[in-house]
Amino acid sequence: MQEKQILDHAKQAVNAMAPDCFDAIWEKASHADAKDYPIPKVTQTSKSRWKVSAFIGTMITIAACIAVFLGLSRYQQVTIYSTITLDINPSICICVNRNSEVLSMEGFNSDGEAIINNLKNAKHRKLNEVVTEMITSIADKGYFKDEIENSVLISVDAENTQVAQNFITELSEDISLVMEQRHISGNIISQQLTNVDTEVDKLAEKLHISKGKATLVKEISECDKKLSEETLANMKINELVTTAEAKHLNINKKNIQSKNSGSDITKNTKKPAVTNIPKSSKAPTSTKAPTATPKPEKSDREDTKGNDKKHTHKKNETRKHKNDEEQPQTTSAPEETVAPTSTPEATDDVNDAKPTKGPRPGRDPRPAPHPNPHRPRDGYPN
Amino acid sequence: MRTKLPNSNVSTDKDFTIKLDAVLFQQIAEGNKDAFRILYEQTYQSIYVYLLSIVQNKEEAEDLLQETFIRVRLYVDRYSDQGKPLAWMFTIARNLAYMRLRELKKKSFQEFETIQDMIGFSVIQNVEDRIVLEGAFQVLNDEERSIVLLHAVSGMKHKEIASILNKPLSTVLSKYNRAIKKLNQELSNNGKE
Repeated sequence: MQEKQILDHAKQAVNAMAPDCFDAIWEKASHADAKDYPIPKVTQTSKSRWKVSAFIGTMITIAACIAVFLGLSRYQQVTIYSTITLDINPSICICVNRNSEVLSMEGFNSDGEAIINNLKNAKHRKLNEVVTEMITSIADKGYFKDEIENSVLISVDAENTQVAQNFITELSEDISLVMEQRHISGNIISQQLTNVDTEVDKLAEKLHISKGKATLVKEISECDKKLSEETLANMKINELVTTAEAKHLNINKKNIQSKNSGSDITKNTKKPAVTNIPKSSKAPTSTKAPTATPKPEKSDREDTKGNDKKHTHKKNETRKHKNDEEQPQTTSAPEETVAPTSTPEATDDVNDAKPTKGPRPGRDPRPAPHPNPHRPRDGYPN
Repeated sequence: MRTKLPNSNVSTDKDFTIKLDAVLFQQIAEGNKDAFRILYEQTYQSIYVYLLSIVQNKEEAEDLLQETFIRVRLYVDRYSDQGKPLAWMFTIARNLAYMRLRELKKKSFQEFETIQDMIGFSVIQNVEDRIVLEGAFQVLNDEERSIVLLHAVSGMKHKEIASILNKPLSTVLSKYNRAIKKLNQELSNNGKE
């Protein structure tokens, strides 16, 4: 059941139950003495205060007994367990401990720093609360434009796939709900990062961008040498995603439709779900995918006719950015068109640096997949 | 039946947010029944659902609703215009509800539990409406239930709910999101049975 339906049903149910006793109230109030109807203040009674004291004493005793293990707990509390990066236009990195409590935050640009400065007492608060507040603040400050499809890139660096996927799932839901409440359309792109790729770290430092964005930049630039890393780094997330899709890099994207956004529905009919993860990320989530997606894998092309390929999932516990070395698993039938998966942003926001989109329907059928899907093929635009 | 004063001071914006101001309260303090009725009609469902979400009993919630509005009527002239009349009313309602719960628990724990079992959904004719509200009382905790039902019934923005419940906005947003998710899950499970 959709959220709106739930709310409507709840409202109707309450309307059926709520009494209209205005006349009785007016009558009683007209003859009432204020002494008989004091304004209530909820205070603790002495009995409950004693119970609270006993409870506190017990808890202190228990805490004393387990004081031996506090050192280990403390270590876990302050140790960074996972890192989550959000790239919208503000670019923010959040470090959390094992309990998903925020340990620190960092802005990669002035907008990110401004957002962080506005957050009050974020440290040791739950990640999902802080992210919800952060996205709300970003929306309130107008970073989500009405006419342009908005993109939020979630990049998670965690110790294992399951943990990363949990973060991605929860944060995607939290962010999408805020966007829906604010009537903002857009896409949520997610990826899992690895902490062993020093090249990405160096690139991020060199370009002064987040590791999440640097990952995307690196993947695209490896695909198309004509696009410089600096050019890609200056692109917005929208544009990067469009470029990546034009290069047939599969992006784990979740589309958020805002009913009142006024955006062209036809623009947003692109399939939000993808079947495979990008080369350098683990199994993404696509919680609202119209089609079920298996554990994603590397770059395999999405059929523009709408028949998402089902690829076998190649286990790859450590992320690598060795796109050219991995082979596609499927031997799908030749596609009828070679048009890349188009996005509204590609149509609206193409700039000179961006590659042209693929040929329109009518082109000769695509030949059989090449072992290296990223090698430029004859006749293919770059 | 809705009553409207010639120069009604109650306005609702496009998001149906309840807006009250000092002039209305002043008219109520002067004994203007129509002004009080306007206030009642704009707020009674929100306050009722808030009370119901705490005490979880239809009859008790109705009694407390009357108690709340009687106090609003009696003390409206003492309300100082701090810009949050709705929050003031909800504070009265909340305190009355928790006082009542304490009294009931003191009386008899068994009676308290029995009362809580009799929420009173039978008056809801529409099956789907009843299922959704029952779900809200079964799977949500007090805070989540209050937030969701206030948003549903009154259309209040989360910022307003946060102000009324005296909670951070991020907490309200987060709990609301979780609550909707839980409700969805519960309703899906019920649908499958």
